[in-house]
Amino acid sequence: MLKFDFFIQVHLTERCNLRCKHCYQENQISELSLEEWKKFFVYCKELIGEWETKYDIEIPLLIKLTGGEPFLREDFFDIVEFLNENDIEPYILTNGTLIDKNMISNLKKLRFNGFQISIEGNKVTHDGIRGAGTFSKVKEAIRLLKDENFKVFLKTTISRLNYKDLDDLIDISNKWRVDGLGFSRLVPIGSGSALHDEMLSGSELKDFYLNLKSKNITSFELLVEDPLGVSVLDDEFKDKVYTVGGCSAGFSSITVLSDGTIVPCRRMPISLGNILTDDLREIWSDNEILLSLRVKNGYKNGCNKCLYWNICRGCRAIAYSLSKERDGWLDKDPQCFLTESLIK
Amino acid sequence: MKKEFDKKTLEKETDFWNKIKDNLKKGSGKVCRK
Repeated sequence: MLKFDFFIQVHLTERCNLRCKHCYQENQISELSLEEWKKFFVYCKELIGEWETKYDIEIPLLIKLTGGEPFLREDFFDIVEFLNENDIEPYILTNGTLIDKNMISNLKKLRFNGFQISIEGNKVTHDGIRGAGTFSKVKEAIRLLKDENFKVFLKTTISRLNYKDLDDLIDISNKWRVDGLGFSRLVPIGSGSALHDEMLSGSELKDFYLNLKSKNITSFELLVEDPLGVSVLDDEFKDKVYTVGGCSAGFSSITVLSDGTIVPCRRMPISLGNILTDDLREIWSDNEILLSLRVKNGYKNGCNKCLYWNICRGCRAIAYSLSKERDGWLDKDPQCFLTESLIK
Repeated sequence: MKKEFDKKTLEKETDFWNKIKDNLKKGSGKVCRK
């Protein structure tokens, strides 16, 4: 049976204990209640089940819980307990600073798909972006999680503030015994909009990924899912032009904010509806913005002619954040370095 | 919130999944998982 990776990203809260320089968050918004989230999770499970049966395809349900900082949600453990009761093991995206011995004893009672913890570089770089003392807290959190055999993945938001820390990040990943290290790009929205000039140019981005490739990392998983990074790191990229991959917006993920607002991606703040009043299934199939993301011809400035559209599409959030077009989510990814010679 | 689907929406849903399946038959690349 064909298998399709699909995930639902849920922002339980916009509250956060940190004020990171590059954060995409803008305003605090309200939060759904535990009961409202429970209803939604049941709905998701039924929806995925219906899709699997109707379309004869395997869709493992992956729910990512994040925030803000998800551990600030007072009923976080009640939410995970409910998911576990429904055979769902959530993946947690956290800054890691609230994980201590006491929290570990509660986490041990539950099942998780894994933990993604943000790391920005060496201690100086990380604390400079996320706040003094956060590097040490993250280090201790990861030690505690790994001692209990949880899967831990590091995620770095790359920009000119930290891309020279690659060797440190590799060293940290080895020393801290993490399962993987991944990278995403700075999206200049929210607080991050002040860092516009710190975004890497296309050639800097390409050099970063080429440098990463030259490291031949085998001691942990390299989680490079940025399609531009994949184009450098995956030697079979050019053989996959008719397959499925690339930016998940409109294709393989949907995001729900803490007040129930549905968006294509957290870094692409375009409201598609709200889970309290709208049917996610109907939105997924019929929303004009999601439909437009699925039509190659509607993309702009070369993306519509690119041989790699099926497996790339760049980062739609970055395109949207910097475009001056009305439908800017279809604009070319401004950091794209795939040259004209590759576009047919 | 679960609602009743009209025929046109259902056709669009079927169209999406058929296209995904057609492409999956040719393989799959990495998907950005944020």
